[in-house]
Amino acid sequence: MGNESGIRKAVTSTLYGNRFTVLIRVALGAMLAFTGAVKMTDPASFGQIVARYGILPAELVPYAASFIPPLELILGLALLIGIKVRAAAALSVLLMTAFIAFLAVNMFRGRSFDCGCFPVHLLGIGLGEKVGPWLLLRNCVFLACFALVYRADRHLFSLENFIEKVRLNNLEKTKYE
Amino acid sequence: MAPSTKRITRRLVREMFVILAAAGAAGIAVNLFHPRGYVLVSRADLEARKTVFLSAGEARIKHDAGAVFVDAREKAEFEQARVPGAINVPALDAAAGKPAMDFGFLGRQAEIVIYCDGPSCGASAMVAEAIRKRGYGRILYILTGGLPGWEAEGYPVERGSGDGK
Repeated sequence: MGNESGIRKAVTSTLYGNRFTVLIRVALGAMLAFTGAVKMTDPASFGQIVARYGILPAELVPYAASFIPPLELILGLALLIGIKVRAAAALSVLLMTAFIAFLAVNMFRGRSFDCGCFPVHLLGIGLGEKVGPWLLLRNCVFLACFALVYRADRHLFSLENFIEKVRLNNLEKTKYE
Repeated sequence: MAPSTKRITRRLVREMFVILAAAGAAGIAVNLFHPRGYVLVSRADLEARKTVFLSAGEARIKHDAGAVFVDAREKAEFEQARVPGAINVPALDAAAGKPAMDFGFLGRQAEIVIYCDGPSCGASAMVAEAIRKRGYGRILYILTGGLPGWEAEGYPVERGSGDGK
């Protein structure tokens, strides 16, 4: 019974925002910022990746290819340093949902190709992740993590938190001194 | 309680829009300066760039590579002389959009070179437009010198009445 309440406590604490939540936030933020930055180094080849999914009409592909990488980079940086965390997490959830939908549609079509999730081939590293159930599962885990970050009330080690602390400290100073 | 939640939601949405706008601006900025970025081009410009004018020599290379040659002249002229293997699509018929026109060659994975009587005949351009109207999105080639230019270079010409296709 003591064990069970321990788990419950851990879950509650994670949902509220503890060090584990921070770990998730920083890891996901770093991941998004990294992939966004890599994709931004070559918009044209990211466009080819987007086109490969065959969901957006060809006219929209350049816009998506121009828009998604900087969005990933900004979201990643925001999560990493911990500013506007809630908005960034909400957008990340939407982005991840879109990715999952893209993946699922192509799996339904029975197609399998290099997903281009982490286009590290631009850096000369071959990852070769194929569209498939494993990838879908992984993205679902990411989605859950983003949702957790969105849900959390407190973000330790974040710029937001730091600013709030400074504000509250000064509030007390002005009040009592 | 409710107004406060509303205010928080409104702030959240506003912040999300700020992030989206920043991403959009960054995307445009990157494209402006990136060598592999996307360029905003007017539609008219894009269409104009999809038609490439070839000299007889360049057309010969396409011919040897298996390009489809489209003869935009009248049927009688076509039957007299033509580039070997050419298909006759008379410009006036093509422009009128006659349903009987055979555009089957558009489905082939070959490049299309159009020619007519010379540099100033408008027939090639008319056929090019008719082909475009059928949703052909790739580059169309026009042989600038037409059949006379082709002949002048000493390239082969098919004579006599062929089967017209």
